[in-house]
This record gives sequence, C-alpha cells and structure tokens, in this order.
Amino acid sequence: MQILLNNTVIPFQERETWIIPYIPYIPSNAQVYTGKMYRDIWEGFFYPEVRKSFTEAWLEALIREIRAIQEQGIPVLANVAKLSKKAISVLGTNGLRRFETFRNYEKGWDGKFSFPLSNRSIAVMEYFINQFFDFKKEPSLFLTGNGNLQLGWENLLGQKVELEFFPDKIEYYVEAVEEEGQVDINEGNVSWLISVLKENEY
Amino acid sequence: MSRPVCSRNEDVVRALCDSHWDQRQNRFSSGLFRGPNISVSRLAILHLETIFEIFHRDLDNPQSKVILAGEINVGKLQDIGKSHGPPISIIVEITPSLFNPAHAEIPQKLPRSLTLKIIDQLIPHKDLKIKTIYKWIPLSIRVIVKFIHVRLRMLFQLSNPIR
Repeated sequence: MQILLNNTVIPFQERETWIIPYIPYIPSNAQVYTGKMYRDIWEGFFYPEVRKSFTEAWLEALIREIRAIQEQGIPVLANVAKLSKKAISVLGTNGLRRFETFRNYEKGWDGKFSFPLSNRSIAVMEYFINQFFDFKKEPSLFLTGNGNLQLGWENLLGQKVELEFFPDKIEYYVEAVEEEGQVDINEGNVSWLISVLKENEY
Repeated sequence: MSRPVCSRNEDVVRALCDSHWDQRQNRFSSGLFRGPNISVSRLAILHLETIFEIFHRDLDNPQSKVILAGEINVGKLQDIGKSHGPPISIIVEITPSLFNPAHAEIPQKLPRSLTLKIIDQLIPHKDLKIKTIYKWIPLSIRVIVKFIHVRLRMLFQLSNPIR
C-alpha cells in the first residue's frame, strides 16, 4: 500500500500510535488528500515510514498544498495557533481574548489533572463553527480541565446549551430538549446536533 | 471505610477561576461542578477570608487566578440532585488536609444539566482580605492548628466544629 503526497510515493506497512503535536490544517473533505492519511492524522495515528518524512519541510509543503485547496473555496479544518475569521466573528473580542489567555495555560493550571489547551479541540470547534455560525447570542468560551474548549450560550427563550469539543467528539447539553450526550466527529452526527440547535433557536 | 459526610445545614464554597467564569457575559461553565472529586471548602471550619488565602496559595498561578468563591448550602445541593431526573444523591465528603482543614469533596461525576442547575443557586463572593489580628499569624500555622482541631473532633465524633 502506498500513499502519494507532494508527488512523492511514501510506503507504509504497519501502524502505531503516534500523537501529532501540531498539524496546521486538516481538510474536512479527506478525499482531496490521501484520505486514509488524513484520517490517521486526525485520529492521532501515523505510520513509522511516513513519520520519518514528517519534517519541517514536509509540513511546509503540506500547508502550501492545503492553502491551495482553501483558495479553491473548499472548507478546511484549522488546527492552528490562531482562530479563523469565522470563529472570531462568532466568539467576538471577549471570546478571542479568553482564547488567547487559555493558550498560555500550562499543565496543572487547575489542579494536577488539568491539561493545556488541545490543538485538536480547537480544530473540532472550528469544524463545528464552520457549519454552525448563526448564533442567536454571543457564546462564552471556556477551557475545561481536559484541555478542551467549551461553548455556552442561550437561545432566545433563555434556555442554555453547552458544547465541549473533545479531540474526537462533541459533548452537548441542550436545555430546550432536555438532552445531554455526545456525538462523534462525523458529518452525519454533527449535522444532527446542528439541526437540533437550529430548530430550538440557538 | 467510608468517609464522614457534611451535614445538610453546612455551607461550602468552591473556588472560581477565569476559565470557569466569563465575567463579561456572566456565564459559568458546568466544569465547575462536573467532577469527579470536586474540591470545596467548609465554612463551618474556616472563615471565608482564610479560605480565600488558601485558594490563592494553592490555585493561583501565572496563567489563572481565583477570582470568586461560589457558596452553596449542602442541603440545597442535595435537593437539586434529588429533583433532577433521574434523581442523584449528592454527598459531600469531609476530607481535611494539613493544607486545608476545611477541605471536602463531591466524589461523583455529575451531568451537565445538573451542574448548571447547581451553578444557578451559587452565591458568589468576591475576594476578601483578612482584617483581624489573625492576619499576623502565618497561614500555615493557622491551618495546622485548625487541622488538629478538626481531626480531634472527627476522632471523638463531635459534630459542628466551631470556627
């Protein structure tokens, strides 16, 4: 099995767990890139042979290619040092200020089991905001002990909603429907959550 | 052996940091009480001023500071749990330490819906500075003396320790 990246053939045979510390952009439509590779980056898995080529130059090439995809108007996920314009417009200056503050939090900021802000949590929030941005009220941004971003706001009737963005899922509580649970990150599940929010004027 | 628990008439406080409270929108995160093992401090053991000193000593760091203490009555906390669907029996376990003799814990992991109801009932207190003669006694001495006091009372099973 081979994958093609930057016109270079990269072979791989076995997979092992490897957390990617920093991936600037991850396209949401994985088929644009070698889908499996993106899925593996997304899940935090990678292949030893590919890992060897995971250099600064490799990353820069990756960013260049992904920016080219962005320029075609194809939505991408951001797993980035700063928020997208869309996210900033949703969160407002207050949310942006809080985000910048949370970025500086180190391990142990709220007791020994609290973790710094997860880049993948940012990516999941961006993924969500890319699809749901018509908030009826400006949401509040929080950081949880897990290192996840969390949004909380109310609908026009004052009923609360809270969403916590884990690296691989979104936990939610929607007061309007008295429902609490979690959805894995895939298009169908997130669409369902968004439809619930829209139906209830969030 | 199970730990002793706080009585219904006690009041406890929880430290609130920037990350839990959006001051501008006045919204709180459910993370404040989700748990498990949420730390609270008992007002029956230490004055709020001293508890604030302990919060700052233990929780302040360059990134995050304690800005408020949220007070709630244990009985009210339990009533909120019972009225939740499905009902949840919330307990507050007494877990004094040398660093905080007023320390107690809510051991359960609570659902978001319930924690948001609890937060609605919190009485927020702004930071207080100790004004009495006790401020001249180092905090470590004060808490050790109180810790011995609490442990002795627990040993002899005396209730309602006096401040």
